[in-house]
Amino acid sequence: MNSTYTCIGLILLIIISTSYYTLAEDFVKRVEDAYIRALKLNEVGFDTSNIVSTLNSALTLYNQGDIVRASNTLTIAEQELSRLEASNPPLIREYHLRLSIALLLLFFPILAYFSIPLLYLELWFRLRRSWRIEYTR
Amino acid sequence: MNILDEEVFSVIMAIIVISSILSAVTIIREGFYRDSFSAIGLLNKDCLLGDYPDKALVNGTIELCIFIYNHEGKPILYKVLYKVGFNNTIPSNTTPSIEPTIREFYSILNHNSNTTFKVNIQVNPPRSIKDGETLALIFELWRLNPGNKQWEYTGRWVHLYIKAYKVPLE
Repeated sequence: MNSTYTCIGLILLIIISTSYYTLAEDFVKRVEDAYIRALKLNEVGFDTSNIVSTLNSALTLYNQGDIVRASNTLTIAEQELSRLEASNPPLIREYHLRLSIALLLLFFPILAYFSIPLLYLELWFRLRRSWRIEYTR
Repeated sequence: MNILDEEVFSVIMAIIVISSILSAVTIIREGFYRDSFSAIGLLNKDCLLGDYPDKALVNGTIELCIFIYNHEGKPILYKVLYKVGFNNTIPSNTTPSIEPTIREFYSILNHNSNTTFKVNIQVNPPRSIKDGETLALIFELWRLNPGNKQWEYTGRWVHLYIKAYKVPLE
């Protein structure tokens, strides 16, 4: 009789430990997928910093061994990702910003061509403002 | 020097034109974060620099803090692998340590942000050791490559040398 209970106990222990490791493995895979989804949203111009912070909270809980709370926090982040994926991407993306700054930089030489002589003359006159002109024979 | 002189002004304009073209091309091709990097640091149990433990019991636990910093220009998913090795099995800039992984710690960080977290690690030598032998507690920084979904070693690691004893010291 005792051996039967021991056997059942061992089987239960194996089932619990196996399911724990499966849960932990699944959790990491879910985080990897969520990270890739967040990165894609970030590339098209969404602000994903809050989602990344939520994912980090989930990972902190996971590191502490609290897989249940970690999984719940991860679910919140996944829901937020789904909400963003369903919405329209922002009009201004990082690439557009980079292109605008590059165009401004290319425009700078034209600006310099006209403004440098003006600035130089302005400075030249300001520095000689107190000068007195005397005529000598 | 009169900068309104034709030759001087031509040289100034040439320098401005070349530098503006180079800057524009760099921003379009490489983005704003050219000097991207990740960093890992090891802190003591109070999450401060210095005052690290220098001895431990074999199979005993040590409390330390790990610091990670992301300056890659985008969010990064990190993994810190904890290994116990020796002087000849510490990692290099290109290859991780050959010792088996004992624990993994995960973190995800936005660009230009950092995290510090406490870790309770066990001093489990990979083979039987002599009393008082020096061990290296190794922490390697890995990151997930989103392209192929594979974990890649960043080339960054920290290690702490400790003397491991089999019986508690007086």
